[in-house]
Amino acid sequence: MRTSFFLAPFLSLLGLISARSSTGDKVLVVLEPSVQKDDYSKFWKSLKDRGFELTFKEPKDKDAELVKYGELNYDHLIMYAPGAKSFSPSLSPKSILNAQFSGLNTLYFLSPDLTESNRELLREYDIEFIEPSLTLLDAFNHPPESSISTVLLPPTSSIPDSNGEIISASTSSGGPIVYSSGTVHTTGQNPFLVDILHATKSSYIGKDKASKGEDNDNASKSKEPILNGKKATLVSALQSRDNVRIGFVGTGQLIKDDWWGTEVATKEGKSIKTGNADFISDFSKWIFQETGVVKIIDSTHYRKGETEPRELYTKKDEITYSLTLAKHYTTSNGTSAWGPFEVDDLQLDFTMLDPHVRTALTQDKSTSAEIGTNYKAKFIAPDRHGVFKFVVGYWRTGWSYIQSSTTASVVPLRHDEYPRFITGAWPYYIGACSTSVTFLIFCALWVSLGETDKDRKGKKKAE
Amino acid sequence: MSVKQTPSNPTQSSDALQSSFQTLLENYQTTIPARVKLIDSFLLFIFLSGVLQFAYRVLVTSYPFYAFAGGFGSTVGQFVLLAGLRAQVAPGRDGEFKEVSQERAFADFCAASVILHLFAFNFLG
Repeated sequence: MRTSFFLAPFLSLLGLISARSSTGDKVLVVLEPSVQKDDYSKFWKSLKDRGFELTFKEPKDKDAELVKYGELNYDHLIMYAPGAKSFSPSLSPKSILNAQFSGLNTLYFLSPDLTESNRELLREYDIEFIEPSLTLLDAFNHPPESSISTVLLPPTSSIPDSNGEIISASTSSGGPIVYSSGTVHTTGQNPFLVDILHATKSSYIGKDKASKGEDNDNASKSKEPILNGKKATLVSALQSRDNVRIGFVGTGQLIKDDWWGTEVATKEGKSIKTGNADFISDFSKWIFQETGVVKIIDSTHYRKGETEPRELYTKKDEITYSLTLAKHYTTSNGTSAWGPFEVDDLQLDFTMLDPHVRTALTQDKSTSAEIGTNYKAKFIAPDRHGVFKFVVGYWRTGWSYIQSSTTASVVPLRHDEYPRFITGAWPYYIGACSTSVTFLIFCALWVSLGETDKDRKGKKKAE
Repeated sequence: MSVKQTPSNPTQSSDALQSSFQTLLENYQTTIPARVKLIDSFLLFIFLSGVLQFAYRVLVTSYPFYAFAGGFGSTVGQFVLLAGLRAQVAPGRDGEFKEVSQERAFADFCAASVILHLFAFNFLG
């Protein structure tokens, strides 16, 4: 996100005009031909209401260029082409990955009929899908009039606990999420992946007999490992080192008008409002950099009694490190703004290969930053000479990764900075001085005594 | 000498010791020239100063060692030079130092002391 960090002032100006996203408002939507755009009109409308400019393309459209002259043509991408076998060169998996490296946030909508090329692309993120045409089924939680492939997911048991940045607390306790004929994936060891939505305990994977109308003993004989509960991930997200966000939704049906803000009958016969609209709104806000975005406004360091950063610190100097962080938020009239970001677990490392000092960065309420929240840490420079770094690394799920590294050196005292007199040596100083002073007094007395004693000396000599 | 040869009890013996000490003092006061007395008092002072510095070095700290070397060295050196001067000017020296006059001895002592003190202050750091 280095480029967008430098572009931040410019982009925030853009943001003031319309979009609430902290990075930009241009969205490319790639729909495969079999997907009817009008079936999802409520989702497109909600995005437009949030200030995004949507451009619709097909996977084979040659003019859908993600990057032009080295600059991103679009800020965000919605990729709803799970069944596409071939893509135009500019929308090929490789060019999408390259665009993501330069900051393209992507939201993938998938389906059980994933093509092999799409599967290979998704393996790049360490996501593995179940076999084609298998879906998530639940014989217990589905609307009575629908087949068992339309799974009702109660958010309380299928959204993992989190800090509420990706999926808000109201959504996590809201209506059931309708997950219709969707695929299931497992997230690998990639530490940048986050599970957003997983299956319930009663759901399983298989072929939907009712909808396909065919016998499928093959599915039960399949060697696919059985996934259910938390292991069966339906929606997951990835935030790269550069804070580029990529979302994976197991079915495009999730945003269908049929489930968007409508009511659904449960097996108890009650009618409940679905949580799809809330869920996908929260998720797309996070993916498109509207929520959970934190940036570094300013970071500086200085010696006690000074205000400017130094290149060289002397050992045992009292150093203050100051960091200002701001969180992106959307104002009530729909503009982009930066506000305070308050956490209590920030740490500062003062490192030379190893952290020599690791201390808490505490909120400094005495200085009010123009925007954001100011954090400060005070520490004594270690008695160790070399090139050090002030390192702040704050990696929390749901927030942008905060990374800051500033270099400064710690040097020994210069030859004229040592104390002139050492307290412990005063007896020696006094000893030497008193000897000299007494010597002078002795000389004076010797001379004066010599004159008075002259007679006696003379007598002695005469004898 | 009025000291009895065979003291018969502790009181007598301490009396005898006291009187012999008094005699020593009297003799010292009357027979030793003032200049030699001056040397002796200076010697005593330097001796005490040296002992104190050494005690400080052993009991408290020897850091910085150069300062100790300077301070203690100046007392030791001054003591040696003074002892030399005393040997040359004290009564009865004629046998050994016939050719050296008191003035010459004092001048030697002064020159050596000045050099010694310069060294000592250099060492103090």
